[in-house]
Amino acid sequence: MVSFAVVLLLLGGALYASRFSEGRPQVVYSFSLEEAAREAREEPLVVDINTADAEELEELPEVGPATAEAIIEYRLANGPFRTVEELEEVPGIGPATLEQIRPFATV
Amino acid sequence: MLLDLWPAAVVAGIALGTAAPAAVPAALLGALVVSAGAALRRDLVPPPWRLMALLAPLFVACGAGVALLHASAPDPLAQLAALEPEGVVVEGRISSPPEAAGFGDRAELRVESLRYGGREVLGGGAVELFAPGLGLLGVGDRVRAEGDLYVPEPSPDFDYARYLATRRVSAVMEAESVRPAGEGRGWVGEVHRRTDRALGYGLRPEEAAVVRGMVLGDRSLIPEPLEEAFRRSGITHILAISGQHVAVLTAAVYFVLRAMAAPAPARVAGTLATVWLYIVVAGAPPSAIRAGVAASLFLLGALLGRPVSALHLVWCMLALVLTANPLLLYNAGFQLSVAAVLGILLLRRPLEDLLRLSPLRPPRAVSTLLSVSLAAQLATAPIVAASFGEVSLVGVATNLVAVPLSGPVLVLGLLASLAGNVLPALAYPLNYANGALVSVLEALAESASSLPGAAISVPDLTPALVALLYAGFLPAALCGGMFARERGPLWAAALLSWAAVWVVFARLASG
Repeated sequence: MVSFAVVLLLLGGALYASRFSEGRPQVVYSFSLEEAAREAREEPLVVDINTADAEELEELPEVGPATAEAIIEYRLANGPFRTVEELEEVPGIGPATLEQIRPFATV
Repeated sequence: MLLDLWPAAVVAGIALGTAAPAAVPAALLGALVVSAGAALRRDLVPPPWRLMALLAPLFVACGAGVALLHASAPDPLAQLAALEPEGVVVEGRISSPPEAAGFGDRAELRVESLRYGGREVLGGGAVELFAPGLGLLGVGDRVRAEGDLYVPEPSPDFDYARYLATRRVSAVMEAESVRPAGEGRGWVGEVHRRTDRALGYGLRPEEAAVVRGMVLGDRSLIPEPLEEAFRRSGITHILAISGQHVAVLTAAVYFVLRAMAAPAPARVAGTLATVWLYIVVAGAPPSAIRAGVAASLFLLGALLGRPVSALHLVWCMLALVLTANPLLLYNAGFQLSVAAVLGILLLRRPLEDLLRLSPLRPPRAVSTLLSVSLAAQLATAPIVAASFGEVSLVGVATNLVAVPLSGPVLVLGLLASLAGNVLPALAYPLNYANGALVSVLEALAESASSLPGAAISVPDLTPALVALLYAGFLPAALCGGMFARERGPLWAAALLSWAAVWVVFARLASG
């Protein structure tokens, strides 16, 4: 009986150590690894600020509904943006916000 | 009824299941044949061992089951790393002392969360982190790193991925930057930093680095030429946290508590708590974990009034440690630690009997010390040769001086670390005394390593050659059991001759 108890203890310990202990990696979010690899290698989303609608403009960092409307109003009033930097003329977009937007915007 | 071989059967099952799974059915079949034979014929096995023979298949199957459970466990972190993803963000705690590496610094990082593609995908596991600026951090510090993951490719000489797996590390991460996260500093790293400060009071940097290696297991500051000298002179083991360190600490704490008239349960509890705290602070190397488990079993057995057989204790320790992590079989530090202990337990007595018959007739203390040193050197030589490509021929003599010195160096180093954090002035006399001892060790290593023929090169050693040497040790190891103890000196002489022939043969075979 003691022998069987020792065997069960060792097997139980091995099961815990190999699968449940803190030192073992556990999946938190299950997804296709190949899909994630492709996603990570894809180019980041880039928004054309001259043709994007409000919903697309809201994809830009630090741009909410009000800022998206302001961009569209500026575009209607002044014509297409010549450079991404011209976004700084839009009310609500300062130098810091422009730095956040720059990698994801194009003209 | 004797069941002393049960842990050896479990270890055999784990070893075969891990290193040679194809041989497990044959081993189980052999155990079943032994069991059936013992069941059918009472005179086949000596009566005290009959129950062991009957239960042999159970324990071998248990070991194989442990190996199978570990081998079949998924490792999603390694699977992700195999795709070599970039832009992975890991948050976790540093779990080993940072060391300088070719690309910045290196340390193990226990993963708390891993984000990829903007989502948290994994928790748990560990990576080997390479990043600049890690040297400013310590064990236990919580950090955030962003970089690339990969699984290292094995080289002809060394399988780095498997080495990492023996330490439960799944992948390598190269990060361009690491920054503290959350509450930041860990207490173990703080202990290391305070120890560094305390060892700086009165010790030269080189000596402080040696003491730091012996106290904390961190050899990163020891100059490469000095480390090479220790290796060639066969005493590099004293620079690492080993079973000897744990044994010295266990004995020191136990006897201090006994001198303070602490009751036996308090003595055992205090000793074990101190020993395991030390093992954690030192980064929990496999050799220290082995010794810690052995010390725990020994002290608990003594407390419970159970007679303790040293060999049985070693096998029980192996069964427990390998159940938690069978891949330790591939870890050179663990192999050396186990080989040294088994060598001392099995080879010391026949070697000592041979020395007592020699014309020199050394005093008992000298013959014991010499036989222990020789037994450990013989038992570890093949593993050292296979791992480092050389064998030290002066190790027996140098260990006679180095091993007795290493105990006081360790104790003085620990006392100086504690005292220096209370009052720096208290550390100076302790460090001065320790500096003298460490200077002797350094002089010993440098002079012995510079002798012609101090170490011979034996590259490309095959497992078959290693097994050949150990096969020659068997008769001496079985003296007192299968062979009469009176034959000990004869088999010890044969063992030494066999070892000498093997060294020549291995050198010729490796070109």
